[in-house]
Amino acid sequence: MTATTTPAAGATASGDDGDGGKGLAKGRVGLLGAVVIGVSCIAPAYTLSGALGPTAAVVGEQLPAIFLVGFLPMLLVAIGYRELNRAMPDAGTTFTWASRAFGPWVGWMGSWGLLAATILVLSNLAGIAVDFFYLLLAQVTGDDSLAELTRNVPLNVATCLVFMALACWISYRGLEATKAVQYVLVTFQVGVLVWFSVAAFGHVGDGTAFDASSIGAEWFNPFAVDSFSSFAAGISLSVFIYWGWDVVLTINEETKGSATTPGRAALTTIMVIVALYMAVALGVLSYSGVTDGAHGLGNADIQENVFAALAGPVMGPTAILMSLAVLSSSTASLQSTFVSPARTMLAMGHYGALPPAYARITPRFQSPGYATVAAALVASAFYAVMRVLSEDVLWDTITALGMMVCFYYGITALACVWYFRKELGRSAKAFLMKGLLPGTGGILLLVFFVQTCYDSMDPSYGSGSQIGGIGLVFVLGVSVLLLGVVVMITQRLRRPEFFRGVTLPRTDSRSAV
Amino acid sequence: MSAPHYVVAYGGDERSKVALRTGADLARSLGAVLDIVLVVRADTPFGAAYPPAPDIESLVEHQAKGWLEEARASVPSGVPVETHIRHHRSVAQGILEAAADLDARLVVVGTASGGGPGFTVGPVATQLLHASPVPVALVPRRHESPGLLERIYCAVGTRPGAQLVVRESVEAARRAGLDLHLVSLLEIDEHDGAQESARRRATELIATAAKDFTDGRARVEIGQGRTMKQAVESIAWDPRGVLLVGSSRLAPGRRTFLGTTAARILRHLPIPMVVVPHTDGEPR
Repeated sequence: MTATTTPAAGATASGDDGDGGKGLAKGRVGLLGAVVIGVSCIAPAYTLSGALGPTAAVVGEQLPAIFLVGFLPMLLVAIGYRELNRAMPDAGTTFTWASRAFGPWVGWMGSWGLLAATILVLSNLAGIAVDFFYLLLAQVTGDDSLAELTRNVPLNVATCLVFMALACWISYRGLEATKAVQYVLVTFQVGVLVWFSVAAFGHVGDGTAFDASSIGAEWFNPFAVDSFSSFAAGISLSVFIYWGWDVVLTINEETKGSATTPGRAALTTIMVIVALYMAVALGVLSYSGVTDGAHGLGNADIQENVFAALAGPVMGPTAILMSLAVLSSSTASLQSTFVSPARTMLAMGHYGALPPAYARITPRFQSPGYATVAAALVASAFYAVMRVLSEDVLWDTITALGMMVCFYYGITALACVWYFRKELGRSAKAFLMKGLLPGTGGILLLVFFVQTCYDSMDPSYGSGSQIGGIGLVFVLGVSVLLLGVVVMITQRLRRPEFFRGVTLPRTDSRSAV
Repeated sequence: MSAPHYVVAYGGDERSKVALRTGADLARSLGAVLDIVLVVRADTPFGAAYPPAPDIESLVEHQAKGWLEEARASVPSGVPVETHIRHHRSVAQGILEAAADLDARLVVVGTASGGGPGFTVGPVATQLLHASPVPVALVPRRHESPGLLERIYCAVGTRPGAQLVVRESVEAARRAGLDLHLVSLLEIDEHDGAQESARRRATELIATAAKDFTDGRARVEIGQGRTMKQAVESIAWDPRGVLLVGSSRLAPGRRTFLGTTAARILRHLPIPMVVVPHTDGEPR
């Protein structure tokens, strides 16, 4: 029980004071299980198919370098996440943490950034799922024209809405993936990605690659990236590809027995993921090169969806496996992604930062029903509008998504430093883990955020979509944040308690009970 | 002897409100304490969200307390009530643990509405039915809770051991001073000789049971029809009654297990059904 929930009428006996549920949860997940959960949360098949092209577009041959370096800010922020999660484990994450550390305004905006990021990722996931759905149909039937159906805008939007509605329904009913399902999905995804990489190197070896290039030391040199702008954009995107890894750190209460399991699980997960990303990035670079030829990574036509374009030539008849892997990865994530915005809105509704309807919990399923449906409606509408406005909707949403993740992760990491500010002098370890590391991560991410924002004003930025001479990604990012400010002020006028710090007062690690 | 405890599996939704009303009637009729148990479902780690999502257990619990207070207020005065919140990955397991801790004699659970007047079993009720060491009362979704219990129906099957439940019913009816009706439900195909012999056998069994266990005080009712639906509908069920059925022979140890015939009866039954675990004659 937490100090923040208002005590209910005294007669309610709490059957098992914290011992029952949380206690039982202990000792269930071993190292392998934790790694599977971690990999499934990162959803490598989906993230790579979304981010490989756009990242290659900005950093070219330094793709492996950026994938390696991009993990650093993620690691730094995740350390802050873990510290905050230990100190304030109850509902809310970024919203509650940032509100407690910096007060309601920053907390609200940080949370808005998280919501925007999840809405963007929902749109992108659904978009990827639609592409691969039609690609899979084409591969199954042998009729290539079916794959082109995804370019039919009304049909594409309609299919996307169906996917979105299904995922929303599953999430509304509070259904969760089981252990067996996760093991199968993760094994399949990892297996297919490894096979893709092996097949790509196979073509390089026997001279049938599109533009065989040999692996060079420069590929691993992040300083070889042509400009800081490209570097910042690349890092924003790679923060996205590692997004979800921090889950492994927060399942510590669930992992078996020893205190070392979560640490080892996090480490093992990241080694698996980095190895996988390296294998795929090197495989693709070696096979395709970075020219703008038909299958070159510099070709804008394939950058939006590299796997869709390359799986065929690289994997031959087994390309259908890639479609299956990406489709299963993105649909599984689509469903579980609803949980995040819905729960965040639930927490915001609970503390009066959003209208009370968002705090509604459906009794039968114990899920935030209203918030789940709201998330689905917003994400669907957003996707439909973007599909019409943007030439490369997947690309633009991924770029904007990277920005939003940098924004809210940055705020969260700094909230960690500020919340623990009175403890930092106590020990070198506290200074490092609660101050220096998350603080550095937070500042870096906010710098990348500002740089990407600035660069994205250029109409030729990213996919080159624009509105009135200003880059679409910029318009998207800035208008989403401004919309947040407007909604926040409306809330302040209509429900001032939260903004007066009544429901969620500012505090720090010393004053907290 | 202290009053027995009846656990109502409560979730704040419509079906659990129906179950609660029936549970309250049963508790009032049989002098039991009503324990309203709400299980807050804990996240399974394998359902982890992408990206990381907040844990909402504390918010659900906060809300659940409100639901429980509503539930408590809705129980007629005169019935002793306690409310409990549990945390568990599985709602059914949470209910069973609460029942074990409270030494409950009965678990009452609501069910989804089927097509007709009867009911189908939801996932929680299904799990309860396959693991409960105490009797489980399944309440039809549209059950009206007409007041105090007046009658116990006892379903007598034709398989070996299916008569054990009669002893339970007799005991319950005697203690509470209720009518006892022994019921046999048969699907009869007029042109099928084998079915006819089954009918004779059932009639004999039920008559023997009535004589052996009740000294002839129980009434015997035989429902028959070409389908189970017709067989069930051929009996004029008293809305102030419940039907006791025994567990399938497949039931492991002393646990409940809904047999196939009982499951088919359930789909058409307008009154609550109590599934009794295999016992060696302990009173409920």
